[in-house]
Amino acid sequence: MLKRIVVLLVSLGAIAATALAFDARVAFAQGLGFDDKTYHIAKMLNCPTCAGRNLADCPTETCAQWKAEIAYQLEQGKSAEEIIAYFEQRFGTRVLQEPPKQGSTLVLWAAPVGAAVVFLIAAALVMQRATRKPAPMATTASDDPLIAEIEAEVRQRW
Amino acid sequence: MFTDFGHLAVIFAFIASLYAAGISVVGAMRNDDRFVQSGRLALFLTFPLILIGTLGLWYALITHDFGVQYVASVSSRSTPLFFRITALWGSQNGSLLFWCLIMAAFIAAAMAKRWDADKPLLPWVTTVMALVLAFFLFLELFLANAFVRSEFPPEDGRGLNPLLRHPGMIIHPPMLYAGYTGLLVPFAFAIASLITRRTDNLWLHVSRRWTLTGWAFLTAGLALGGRWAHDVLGWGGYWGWDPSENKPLITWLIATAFLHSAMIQEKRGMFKNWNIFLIMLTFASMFFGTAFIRSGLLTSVHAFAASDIGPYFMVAMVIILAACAWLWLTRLDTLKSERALDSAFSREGIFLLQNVLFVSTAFTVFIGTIFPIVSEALTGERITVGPPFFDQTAGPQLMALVLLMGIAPLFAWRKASAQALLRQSVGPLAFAAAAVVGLLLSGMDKPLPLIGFAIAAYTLAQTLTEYVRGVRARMQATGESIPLALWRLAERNQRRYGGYLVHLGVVLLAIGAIGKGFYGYDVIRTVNLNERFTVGDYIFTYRGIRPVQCEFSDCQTVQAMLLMQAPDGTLTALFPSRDHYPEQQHTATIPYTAGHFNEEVYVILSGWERGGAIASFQVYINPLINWVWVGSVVMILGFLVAFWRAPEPEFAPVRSRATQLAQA
Repeated sequence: MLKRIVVLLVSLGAIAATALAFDARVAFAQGLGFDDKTYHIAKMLNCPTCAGRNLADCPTETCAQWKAEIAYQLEQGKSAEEIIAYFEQRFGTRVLQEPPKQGSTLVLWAAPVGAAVVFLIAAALVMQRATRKPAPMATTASDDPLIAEIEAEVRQRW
Repeated sequence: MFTDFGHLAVIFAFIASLYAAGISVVGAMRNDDRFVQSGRLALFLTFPLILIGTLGLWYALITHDFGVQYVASVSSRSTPLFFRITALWGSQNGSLLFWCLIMAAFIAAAMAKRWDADKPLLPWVTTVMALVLAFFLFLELFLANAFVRSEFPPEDGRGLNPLLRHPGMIIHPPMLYAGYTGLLVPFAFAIASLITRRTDNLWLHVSRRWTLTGWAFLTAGLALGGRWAHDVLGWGGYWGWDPSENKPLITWLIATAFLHSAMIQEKRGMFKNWNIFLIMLTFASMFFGTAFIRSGLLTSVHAFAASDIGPYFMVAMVIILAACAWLWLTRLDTLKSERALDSAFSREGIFLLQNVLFVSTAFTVFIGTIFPIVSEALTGERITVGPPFFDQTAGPQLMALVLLMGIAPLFAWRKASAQALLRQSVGPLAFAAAAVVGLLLSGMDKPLPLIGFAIAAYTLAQTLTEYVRGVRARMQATGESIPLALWRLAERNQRRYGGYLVHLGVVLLAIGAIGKGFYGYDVIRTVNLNERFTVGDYIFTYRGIRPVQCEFSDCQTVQAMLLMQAPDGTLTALFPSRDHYPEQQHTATIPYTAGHFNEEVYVILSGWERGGAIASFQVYINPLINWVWVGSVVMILGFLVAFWRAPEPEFAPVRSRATQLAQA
């Protein structure tokens, strides 16, 4: 009798545990209860239903499903890189918070660097052109800075 | 009735602005002052007219006149009076009207000034301002009319967007509008100067205070926007590189570059071309950004719904750019420098470098913001450019600007001496080194933030040294006490020391940004009732959730309670909550902040199950984030010092000495 009760209790416990575990999966689906790892992977992805927000911060139903998918794949032993690659492969580059530094989005990364370099070179050229040329011997005879300046301007104007 | 009267007034304002533009051109062509004055008065008149229109809409909002479509879309019977007033700029149509009002106010103030000294510019300034105002009034009247009535007035309205019920969001849009329109004034003067082929710096001189005002409003608008995002959006941060944040930032960056390079033209008569280019770019960025945000082309957290004003903006943009380019190219001869550069190693040189960096940072933000659209148009693939891109590309450029901010004041005009530079840098460099050692000893060894903090420490020390040097000189010369010497110093040279105060604010802001950016972290925890969890040095206990009275009648609030034990043992109760707005189908996460000044703990209730038996929390640890707010306030204080009652030196139309000689 006692044995039966123990078996019954153990089974009930098992069912309860399963139910709780199941509840946790439901919770995942509702955007609850996912752990830090899921959360941090979600931070690197975009949700299609929340404009301008990453997946982790987005409270919509679709996003909850995506988060559940991440949690599930983590449970399957997949690494963060594999999971991100999975989403990218399935939904395209748009799911990535940080566009890859290759392919068509390389332009994006190169543009600021390229622009900064071009601007700096342009500024250097402008400065070089605008800089007063070392005055020829004849005009340096005068030590008066005012005269030197006037002459420089006259040179520049003509 | 009064509302329809207001509508009529706005129509008259539109006609008045068109008249002002036309008659001013005629006046300028015929050189007849009567026409010019008529244009000036007509443009001046737009302000009271638009004010009547605004009052009309306010009247409708306050009296629950849901027959007006706009009123029904942004308020309801339960909306409190305060939010019925601010609902004026709660959505596209009303905010356009409000923007017109602020623009007209700035224009009226500009029109009211004494024009004796700069009369030749008047008709063209009037024309430019009138055309811009007319364009916005056109959008308001023909594409986004806030006065339109519906045939079947609803019983009740939809209520104000819940996200906009925050003080930061209430002041933030007017600030940005004021910022943009403040910057319209120097643009109008620049164009007038080009049209009239003036070679002097009159336009810069006359519009300087306007530029400064516009810049300050833009700064305040950005800071308040950040505060709003921090308090309402539940991101844990203050800046998310969202398109509608980037847009004012781009304008701010270019306007800041302009404020600096304008100094060179004023002091040395150089960079005239560049200044014209910068003010045009400032205006264009404002216009372009507005077009993108308001047309719904760029999706953003707080963008306006898609509307059909985009194409009109684009057409206007093309016209403006073409007109600017034509004016500029045909007036190149008037923009010659009055002087040659003595050396690249000078204040002028470092200002140019700083200007280039400002513009390239603005370009970086611009590229990141519009890339999704470009990519979609070219390759059909819509990608997302998230914060990591901006952090990695704009971040270093901004840090370089902070460094330049420290170094630049050491450079003498015309030609700087390397020895003097080094001599003056010894103290600040030592301070920066000490700061780095201190940080290393306290266990912070990430290289990037260390570099950042070193730069911030150097610039901080350098800027403070400027004050110390000035105060000491005054004390020696006059025997004044320290506070009096400091006061007099700032009073005697408001622009300079106000500017340095702005620099101090920027450094403080940078310290906050580095702290939050590199040392901030966040976790999510799902816990049972009364379960404890640890984040960083803090121990939290979840004590349950309960429904509480919402601040507004159209929402339901669920509040969680957490007990937080700080490392020193003190207990704090935290109440993060979620507001649900059933009618608007919107849920807002309301964060709760705790911690101490240098380390904010920011908690969000992200969900719960089974009546609160389980709940999830996002906990953000935000080190130094409060310095972002302090820095912003200091920046505004710096503006006030530079601006407040500063006597404007009389403008003598200085021509280059060579020209004077030639004329003599």
